[in-house]
Amino acid sequence: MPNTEKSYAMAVDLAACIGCNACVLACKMEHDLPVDAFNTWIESWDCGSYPNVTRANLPKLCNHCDNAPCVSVCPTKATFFDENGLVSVDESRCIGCKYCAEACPFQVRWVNDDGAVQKCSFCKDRINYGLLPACVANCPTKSRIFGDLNDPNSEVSRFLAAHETQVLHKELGINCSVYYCGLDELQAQEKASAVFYGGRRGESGK
Amino acid sequence: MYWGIEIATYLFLAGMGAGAFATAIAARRKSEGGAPYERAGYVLGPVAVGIGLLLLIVDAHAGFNHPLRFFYLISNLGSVMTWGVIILSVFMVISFIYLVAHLLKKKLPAALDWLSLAACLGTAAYTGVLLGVIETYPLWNNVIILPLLFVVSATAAGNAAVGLWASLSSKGAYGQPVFCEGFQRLLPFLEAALLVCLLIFSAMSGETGRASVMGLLAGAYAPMFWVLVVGCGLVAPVFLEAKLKKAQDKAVSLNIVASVLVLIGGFSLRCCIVLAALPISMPVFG
Repeated sequence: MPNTEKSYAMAVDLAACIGCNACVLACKMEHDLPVDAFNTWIESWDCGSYPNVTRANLPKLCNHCDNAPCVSVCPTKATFFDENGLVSVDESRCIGCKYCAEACPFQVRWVNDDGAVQKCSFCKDRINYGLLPACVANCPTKSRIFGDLNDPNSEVSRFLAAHETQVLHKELGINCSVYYCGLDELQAQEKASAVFYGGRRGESGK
Repeated sequence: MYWGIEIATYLFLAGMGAGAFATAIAARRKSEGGAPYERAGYVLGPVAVGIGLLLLIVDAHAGFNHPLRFFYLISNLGSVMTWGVIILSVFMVISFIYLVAHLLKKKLPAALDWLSLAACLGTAAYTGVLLGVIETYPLWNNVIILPLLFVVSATAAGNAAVGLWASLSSKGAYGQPVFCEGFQRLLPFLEAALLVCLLIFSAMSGETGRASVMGLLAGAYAPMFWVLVVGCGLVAPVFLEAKLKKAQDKAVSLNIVASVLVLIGGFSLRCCIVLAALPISMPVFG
């Protein structure tokens, strides 16, 4: 991805997330998503063993990677980096081959009624008007923090400066734009239940 | 998780078509007694790959709904799928030329054979590279072993398809065309070795890869893997081959059975690889 004027990023403070799904519903309402389509969702499971059990909540969404596998595999350039470096979909070029969906390590993509592939846009239509993404604006515990990394005074820059964060699948070296505070601790905990995938398919295993 | 049986069928048909066409070229170069094999391969090549491409088009709903979008397919030269579009286009054109030349009984220059074999190799290998570059699925993520496995399996399936067609359609030709006997006998062993390597690499890559391999060996896909891929596709043909060697020319029906088993094995291999692969984004428990 070329250097762009804006460099949008999101931080997720896992200690603050209560798994209420307000972000998921806000997103669905904002983008008028079909029942089985999600641009963001929360994966939940139980950790530890009695009496020391906790609930893990891990919000997921498009990571708008700098080195996005979906962009490099798309044969039609329907998936591309927009002027702000966001991974975007030009539906008028998409043939629905789903190569991007398979290549995405986070499996965030879904197929719409017309056969084209869709995903989270970081609420491009809102942020270009200075609004926050719907999921961020509607989070009651402020566990999602959003802003421009090129602006050192943005909320996300300040949060990242003050907290240690991790990204999902760091081993892939794809430079994610979604940072999680507390991810290592969460993943290190012993899992004590199956994972609820937030209503997405894959619930039953495969 | 997004690709299913349509894509597995396409991967199989593309490989088998490429293998069948390569078999026909080999039969052409061997000169004697190759005519039934040639005809079978020239028809099977473009037809099988063409049906596979139709499956892809149907599976790509947005393109099916808006066919002009398929012209964008060569926009991104960095995409393996774009390479595939180019390779398959070359394959379709060349194999169609051979089919037409065969029907019109025109002789083609021998030098074209090498280009054709390269197109066959490219087509079969591409089906493996397409999956091999995807890091999301540890079972696929191998750009050397998976393409080699698919090339070997495609060769076996192409031989079998051509042999089957020739046995069924003409009185003179029995079973698999022989053009390089030692290599052809080696195919099931080579395929088994590559499959073992793929599974070992995948299992060593981490939790998700191990879970995918376990799904094949002892999980939901175990019946398909052991019975169809290993039993039908690898073990049975080796035994039948040994039997055929003794039975000599009375063995048309045995040959037909062996060919069908190889084809079932090749198709099941693609199904197993496509369907049993788990994505790294899904935490594995247990």
